[in-house]
Amino acid sequence: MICPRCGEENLEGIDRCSNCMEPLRDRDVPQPTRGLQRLIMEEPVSAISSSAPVVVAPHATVAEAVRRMREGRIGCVLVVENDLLVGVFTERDVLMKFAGTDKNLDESKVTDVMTRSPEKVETTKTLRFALNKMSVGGFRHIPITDQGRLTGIVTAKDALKFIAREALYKGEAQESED
Amino acid sequence: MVEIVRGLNGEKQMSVREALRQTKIRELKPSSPACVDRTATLAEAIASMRGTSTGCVMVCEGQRVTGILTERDLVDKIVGEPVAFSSAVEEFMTRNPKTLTADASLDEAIRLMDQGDYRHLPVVDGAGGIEGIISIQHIIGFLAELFPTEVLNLPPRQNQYIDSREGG
Repeated sequence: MICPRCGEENLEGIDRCSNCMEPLRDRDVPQPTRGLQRLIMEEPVSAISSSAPVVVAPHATVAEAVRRMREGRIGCVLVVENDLLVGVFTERDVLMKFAGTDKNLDESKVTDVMTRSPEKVETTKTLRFALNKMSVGGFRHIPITDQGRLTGIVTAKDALKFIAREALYKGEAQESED
Repeated sequence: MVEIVRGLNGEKQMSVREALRQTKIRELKPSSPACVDRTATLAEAIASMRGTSTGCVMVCEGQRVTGILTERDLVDKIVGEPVAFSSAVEEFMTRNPKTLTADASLDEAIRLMDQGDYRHLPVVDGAGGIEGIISIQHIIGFLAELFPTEVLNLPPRQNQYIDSREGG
């Protein structure tokens, strides 16, 4: 720890500068506590979520799910039964299970093709936590729940837009003011 | 991968913005793209797309990318519509997608994706030949790794406290 007052090089964790007695205790704390780094580590995931979840019932047809996906401009519909999230149906499922086949979308039920017990995050978890889940699992959409009850959805696009806004555009506005 | 230096010993602290500027696309390890010729049918393009993890296929003329077909196009224009899978992929692809080179910086990729609402960007060489593809997942992966695990073990701030005593 270099003393900010006299420039003396002190031992890590020392309370006062050994040369000028400047108090150092409050300064010698790791510092990802500023700006965007702090936001990513502390901002609850619900704060960056930008779109309302698109919800269907398990007995809905795949045709309806695809239509809702289109209308909602989102790549994932959530399957909810009795207020509980039971599955997700995504663009990837459309690609893998329906595209290029002659399956009848009006006769297929979402419940038969959805992914059950999807990954989700609690509404109070941080953005960092959600980023990790997306990265590890390769998901682009993660439902947000509050004690099991569905409250929202966070997408990779939300995260990208958040980073673009906070790290690129905001910084540039400050730079041009300087 | 850029190391975030924390201001413990008076070193310069690198901001996230700096990290995005200094990281090159090649460091994200672009995926190898699925490619079909521009004369391909929709069925061929879909079969090729299924073999990838990125959910898109490049439509090429020789080495040059002339279009891109993604999962989103399937949802929006193809699945559930009266579309013959023997149709030409060219009818459904997005023409002349935005591309970048492997030497472009990550912040450029984020800008392009944000402003164009893209989630895939073909990576091309100087002559415009296809080299790879980066997707929004590459960027999420980078951001998730930007903060080393040690930051999870930071001391608590003064406004964070435990309501009850620790211990059994």
